[in-house]
Amino acid sequence: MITAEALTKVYRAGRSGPHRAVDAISFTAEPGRVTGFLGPNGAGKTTTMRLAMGLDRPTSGSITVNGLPVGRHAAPLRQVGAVLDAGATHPGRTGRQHLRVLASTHGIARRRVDEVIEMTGLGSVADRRVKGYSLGMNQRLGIGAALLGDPATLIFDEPVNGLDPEGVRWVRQLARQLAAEGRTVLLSSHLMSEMSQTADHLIVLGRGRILADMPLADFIDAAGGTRVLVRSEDATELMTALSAEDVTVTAHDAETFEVVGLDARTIGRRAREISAALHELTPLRTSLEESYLRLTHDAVEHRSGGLTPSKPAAASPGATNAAGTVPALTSPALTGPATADRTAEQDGEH
Amino acid sequence: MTPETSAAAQNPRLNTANGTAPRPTRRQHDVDPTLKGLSLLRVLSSELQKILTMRAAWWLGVGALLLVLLFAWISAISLSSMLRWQQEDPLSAPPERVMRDMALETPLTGLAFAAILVGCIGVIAITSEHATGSLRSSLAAVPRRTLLYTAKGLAVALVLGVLTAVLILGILLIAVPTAATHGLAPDLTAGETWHRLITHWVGVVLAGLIGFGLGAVLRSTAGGIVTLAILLFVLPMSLEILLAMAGDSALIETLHRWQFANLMTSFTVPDPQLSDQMSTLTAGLGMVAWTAAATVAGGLLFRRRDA
Repeated sequence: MITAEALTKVYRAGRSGPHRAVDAISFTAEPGRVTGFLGPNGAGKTTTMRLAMGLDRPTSGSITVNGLPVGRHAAPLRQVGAVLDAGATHPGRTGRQHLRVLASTHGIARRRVDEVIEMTGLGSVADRRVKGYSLGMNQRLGIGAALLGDPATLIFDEPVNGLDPEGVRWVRQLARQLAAEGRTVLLSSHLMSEMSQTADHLIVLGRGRILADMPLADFIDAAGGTRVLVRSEDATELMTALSAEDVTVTAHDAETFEVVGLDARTIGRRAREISAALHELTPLRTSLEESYLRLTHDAVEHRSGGLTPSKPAAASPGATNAAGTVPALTSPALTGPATADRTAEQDGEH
Repeated sequence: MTPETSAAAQNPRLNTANGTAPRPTRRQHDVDPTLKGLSLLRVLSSELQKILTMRAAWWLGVGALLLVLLFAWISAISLSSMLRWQQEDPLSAPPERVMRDMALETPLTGLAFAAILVGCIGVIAITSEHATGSLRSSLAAVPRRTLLYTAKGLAVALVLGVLTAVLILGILLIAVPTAATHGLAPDLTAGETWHRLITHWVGVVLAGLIGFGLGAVLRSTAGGIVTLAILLFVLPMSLEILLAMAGDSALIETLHRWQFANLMTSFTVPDPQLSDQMSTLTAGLGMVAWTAAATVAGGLLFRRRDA
């Protein structure tokens, strides 16, 4: 279990004066589940993980792993393993030498080193110097080092960076398996598809503060709820019939519109009441990415300039609604900064 | 007592916060308390492996060995020349006792130059971890920084101790047979001989540990090596020049007297009268003070800084 209480880290170096990387955050990452750590660049995720591992010292507050600061455990490698930086190895050593050096600190048998090498799929390159490793191999070596002590808690910072699809799936399954074995897994990733498939619980950071701390499903529901796509030849009548104070209706084209605030069953009943012909009634869940972007909209420190479309947006069918104001694939609730990046991904995160 | 509090009293795992059903119980992975943990010996073993798996350390060690062997060989040639001179002009040549001292002392001077290479091993033992980022892996395994730093320092001392012993052995393998052919073989059972060998050994190891401390303070390989070179070579020469220019300056004389290279010279000479009247013990303590200053400062910063 990882417990942070009023954890604060202020970096004093730099021309712009003190930088509050982590600002009085409190959270608990519990055993038996994968806790996803999300946030824009500079939100404080890596700093928090470094504080948990004792690499940085908190300015105030505390963070403990399994009840104690990591430095006070008699056998730290057996309590917590971490992948914070794929390059945290000496390039002149072989992968096996790197793992043996770490294993020696806790009297871990060489047999376990060999096991971990096989587990991470590095068997064929274990005796090659690390400087010849690809990013993916380095990532696997880092994961191997984290698993050496068979620890109760694992901290993975962007563990799938540089991994091939097989490696990505392996990390996902590994994280799920480790959590199923009753271990605490704290995992950060910018890949929302991975996070939505791996995490049970989410902690979202923005500008060093916690923006959300809740189960994944609740996070998605809280951010956008369920939308329903409706296609009907009597669209105008049906949209009027569905209008209510808490209901948002957005037209896509003459026959298609989207409803937020009513479920499919209610819409179907209303259509029957007014004898409207329905051709489609599809519940659409808000993706994790949409929910995340909406929540962190105001907490993004490093914002990209966006893409300049080569053609006018109106060239795409359904780009405007009946009112001519809202882009078709952007719900009124979703006004994040990266609309251009997001529209094509609309259905990719379900 | 409410039903919730009553239930909670009976079952402490029951979540009664909202009076609903208990939270689903999760498996918890327990750490086996009988498994081995950190100890100085284990961390020392790890640190020894780190140094021994660094190619740069081996290259520096081989370089130091070649350097002292070269010095010993040149010394052997020099000794032969002096003996010829003694045969040709016995009155102006140095007395036999001095020649016998030179038969061992001159080859050992190579160690003073090898000290910079040995010191480089001390520097890179710690700066390579900063430069490559492997310090983060080390601290993940050994978050107790004082333990890690102590073990690293001990590992450096052990490796440099063995290396310096090998260097001295190499020197002896050239110097002793050469001197023996001229009837000047040093008495290897004499206290004076052992004094020379041991003090040279200690001096080189301490120079290496100063390198280690400088590396910890500066966290830069280039910075550590340059600073060590300044301490071992540039500072003594600069102070010599200043002393020659302003001979009556007490400050410069004191600085010159207590700089590391001068202390090492005083420390290694068995006869205190030849070493500017500083006793072996005083010189030795001065060298230990230099070493302690570098390593303790490095240790304090290593403990305090973010990795």
